[in-house]
Amino acid sequence: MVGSLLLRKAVRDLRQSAASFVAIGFMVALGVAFLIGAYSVYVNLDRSYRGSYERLRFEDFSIRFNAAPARVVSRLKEIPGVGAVEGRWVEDTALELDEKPGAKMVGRLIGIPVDRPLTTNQLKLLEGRLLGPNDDRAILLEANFAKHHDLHPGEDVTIERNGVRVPFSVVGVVQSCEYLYVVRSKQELISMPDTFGVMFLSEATLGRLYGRLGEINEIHATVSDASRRSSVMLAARQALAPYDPEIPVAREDQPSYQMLQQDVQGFQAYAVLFPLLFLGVAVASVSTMLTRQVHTQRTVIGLLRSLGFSKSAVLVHFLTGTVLVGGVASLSGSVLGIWLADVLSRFYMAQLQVPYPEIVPRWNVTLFGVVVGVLTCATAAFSPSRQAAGIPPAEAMRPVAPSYGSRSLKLDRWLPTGSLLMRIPLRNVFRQPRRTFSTLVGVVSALCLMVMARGLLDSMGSALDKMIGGMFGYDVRVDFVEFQTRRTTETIRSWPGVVWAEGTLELPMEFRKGGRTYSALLNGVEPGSKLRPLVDAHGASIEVPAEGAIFGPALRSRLQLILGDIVWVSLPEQITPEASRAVPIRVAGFNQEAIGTQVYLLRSEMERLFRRELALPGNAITSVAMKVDPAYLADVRRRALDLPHAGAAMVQVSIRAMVQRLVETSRRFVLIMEVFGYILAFATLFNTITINVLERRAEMATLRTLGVSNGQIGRMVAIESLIVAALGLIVGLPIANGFVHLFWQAAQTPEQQELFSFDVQILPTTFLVAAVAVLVICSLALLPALRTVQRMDLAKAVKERST
Amino acid sequence: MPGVESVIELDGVGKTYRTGSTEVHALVDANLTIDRGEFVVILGPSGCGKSTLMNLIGGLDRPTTGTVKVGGRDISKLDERGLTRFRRETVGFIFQFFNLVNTLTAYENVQLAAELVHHPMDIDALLEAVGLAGRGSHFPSELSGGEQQRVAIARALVKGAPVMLCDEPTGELDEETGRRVLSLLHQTTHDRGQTVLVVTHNAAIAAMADRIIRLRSGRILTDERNEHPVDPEEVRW
Ligand SMILES: Nc1ncnc2c1ncn2[C@@H]1O[C@H](COP(=O)(O)OP(=O)(O)OP(=O)(O)O)[C@@H](O)[C@H]1O
Ligand SMILES: [Mg+2]
Repeated sequence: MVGSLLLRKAVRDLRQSAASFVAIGFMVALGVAFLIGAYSVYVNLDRSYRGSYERLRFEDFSIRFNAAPARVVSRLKEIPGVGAVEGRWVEDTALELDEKPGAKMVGRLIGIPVDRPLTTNQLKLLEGRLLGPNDDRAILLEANFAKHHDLHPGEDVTIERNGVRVPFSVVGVVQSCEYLYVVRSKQELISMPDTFGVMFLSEATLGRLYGRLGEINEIHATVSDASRRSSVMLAARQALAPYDPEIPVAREDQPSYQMLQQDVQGFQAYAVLFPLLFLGVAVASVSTMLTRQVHTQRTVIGLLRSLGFSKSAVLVHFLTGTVLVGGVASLSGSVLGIWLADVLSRFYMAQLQVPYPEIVPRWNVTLFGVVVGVLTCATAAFSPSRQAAGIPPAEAMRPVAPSYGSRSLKLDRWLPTGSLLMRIPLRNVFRQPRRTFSTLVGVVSALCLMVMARGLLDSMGSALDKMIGGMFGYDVRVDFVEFQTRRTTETIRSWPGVVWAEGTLELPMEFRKGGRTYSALLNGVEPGSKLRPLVDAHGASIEVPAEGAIFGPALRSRLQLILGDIVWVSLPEQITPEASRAVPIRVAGFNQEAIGTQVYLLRSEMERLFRRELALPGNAITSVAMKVDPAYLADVRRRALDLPHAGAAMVQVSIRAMVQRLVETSRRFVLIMEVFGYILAFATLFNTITINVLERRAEMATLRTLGVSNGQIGRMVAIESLIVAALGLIVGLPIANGFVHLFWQAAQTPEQQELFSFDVQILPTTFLVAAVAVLVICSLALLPALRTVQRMDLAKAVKERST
Repeated sequence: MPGVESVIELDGVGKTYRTGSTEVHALVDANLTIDRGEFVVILGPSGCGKSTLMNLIGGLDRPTTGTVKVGGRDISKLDERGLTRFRRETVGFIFQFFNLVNTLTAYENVQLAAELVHHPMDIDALLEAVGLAGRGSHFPSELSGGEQQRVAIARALVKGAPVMLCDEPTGELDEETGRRVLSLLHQTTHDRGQTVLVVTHNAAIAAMADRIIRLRSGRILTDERNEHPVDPEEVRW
């Protein structure tokens, strides 16, 4: 059978260029494995979170309000369409841990019933036990906080209430679906387990402690019919109307849920884009390699066609080999992918402490990966194969393939003259555009892959630096639970070790323009503030003006602000029970910072605007930031905490460490990508160089018969490869840079871009490392190729036509 | 013939190729002495071992048995480095398929070989001698088959190597061109006293040789002297 003979030829061709096909297969397998692995992890993660929210009966909405009698809950339960309703008292309070005396923190105390299970937002017990009816001095800690401080059942925490210290004993560590990602509020999305923890205690105990027995200030509810949620929310708010309810918060807007969702979405973007990048590189190199193979086989093609094979037979013939390789590679890649999915899923679930992990092989993802792998190869092979089929037999049969010679670039004419042996590599670079191009594709792809992962890490690092340098341009900052005055600042300035101190008035506010509202932190700063330096998008510093305010990037985009706009600012309803007045503030400028939910104006201006509503004392401040001599850090921090009404004092260094831990999970993912990137880059370059050398066996054999030594040939080929590699670096580095920018934009959800406006920032060392890696890989790749040339049988090789 | 030194000496040379379990005896017990300045034609049917013999003399391959001496040196004992030097200084090859370097011009192809030796011949003069004056800047793809083969001849000659090995140099050429190429080869080598071995299975060429060696199935069948070599221009194909 003619067909089977051609198939046999296809297989032999495969065997002949085994090295390159192995490299291609390797690339495709890696891409497929990565696609299946990463996307399965995403699916596992998404399903696990959904399942966990489901099993713990996560709320559909919540409403906060001022004190209401607990019995309103029964009225809410009568609303048609409502499912479960839980009412509770929640109080943020100063907190102390036995092991860390003096380290003040904020504890969020949540009252829960002890005689019945919760009907919504249930707790998952990780350690110890839940609360019983007689547990008056018992408390449950949320897992993140417990883990951070290494707290376990049996240990004590002390709550401070109006100067009275009340000890509680930890009986259990729990996870709450409301705090899977611990977020304190919409305004403070980055939580610090160092200083903020959530804990649960008996509602009766909490009520007695705060004189709020039988009262609630929050309800959390589920609905029985999702389609009627908005009407249920509206009805619930109406039922709570006498108690000044805030706007109901739907499940999607719950800050913790939202953050987590964003993380999962971000992960999804990576899980798709990175493997696609890999496969894209595979397509590029498979395609260039096959184009060259077609070129070297043109006489064979001509022969086949002149024997009477149809165009399509030739097309299929050239597709066969690659698709075979693609199939085998995709299947082995899928095995690796399933394994990778399992390992990575376990790793991530453990890292993220997902309450109910659901780790199973995702067969549809696997199938998809295999199909994508085969399609990748078919796509890559299609164009060269069609080109092969299209060669007119007469042209293909010509003894010497039309060379690119005179028609190609003649750049080499300007190159320095010297020994011809040394000039051959130079002119080969310019006179073999096909070969040069394919090597360039290899080098550029490899560079993109290598710069990508590391560039993302760099960007995260620089964003961290900016965030901490900008937002926390101070060493220590102390927050007060009640308004302080300038006197406090002056006291602090007089302490030894304090270089400079500044008071700030910070309040959460609602900002409204047109129909849009956004919650953000309004910062009243001193003129010419040294510790809260603001910069614009170009990094130039900006001053807070005498009138109007500077808005952060998130507000700018959310409220669609332009310079000179008037924004209506009002206090959140919770702070001012009586209907609060909205104050117009003019947009005087925009600043750039990593967390864009901040607005800055002069402290004096802020005081003037809100003095009446808040009954502010003169020169009011809520926090003091200070620059401290490093030797005095601990000392100053302790003294700050001893000040009356001091809530928490944060040291910049520990904040940095904490934020760093937060991005650690995504860092690890990026690290895995980096390893993959380097492996793939290696495969690509190795492949390219090997083909480069092997393709020229006949030419090298001729040189050897003339008496050119192996060493000279080696030098020639090495110089040529390194010249092309260097060219590749020149072209590739800017491309890689642009590529990372594009990727970064594609990988981020709009919300992420708005909240954490990271810029891509690639360190020079990243480029340097990638460049050196390219040169090293090229040199390494030369060795085995040259060895084959050295061992080649000259008598045999000269019988081949040199083409 | 007294006073004439031998350039090539083969003593009991055999070459056996092994492919899996089958053995091919490409050359069996070849004994041969060729003198300086001789123009030798090697005849024989396809597969009889002609190329094998040439490759052994040129140091592209090593014999399985026996010794090959060229210029008094036993090249079967040379290591890779020695063989490279030997090829560089002692032999010039011309192949059936020209084997030019495609990215180099005609001139540069010749220059490539010239740079390997201390005293190369003048490239322009050689190109003119092979009738390619003014074509030096052309690439192989811009030359006809015969022109390419003439470049190959120039490349083989430029080193001034004492031995020229030509394996079916006219195989790819038409009659007229083949004849011109051969007469060119004959003339240039004769003037310089170079020893030439030409492989062919075209008996007509033999008429111009000093000596005719016939091979059959790996064995030297006859080895005779041609007392009246014909001028190449008059050779009938
Ligand atoms: N590498 C090899 N492996 C196995 N057998 C070989 C090899 N090279 C040559 N042969 C065999 O050795 C024998 C002599 O080959 P050689 O190339 O010397 O023939 P030839 O006389 O040059 O033929 P032609 O005139 O067709 O070129 C042939 O039978 C051939 O099949
Ligand atoms: Mg032969």
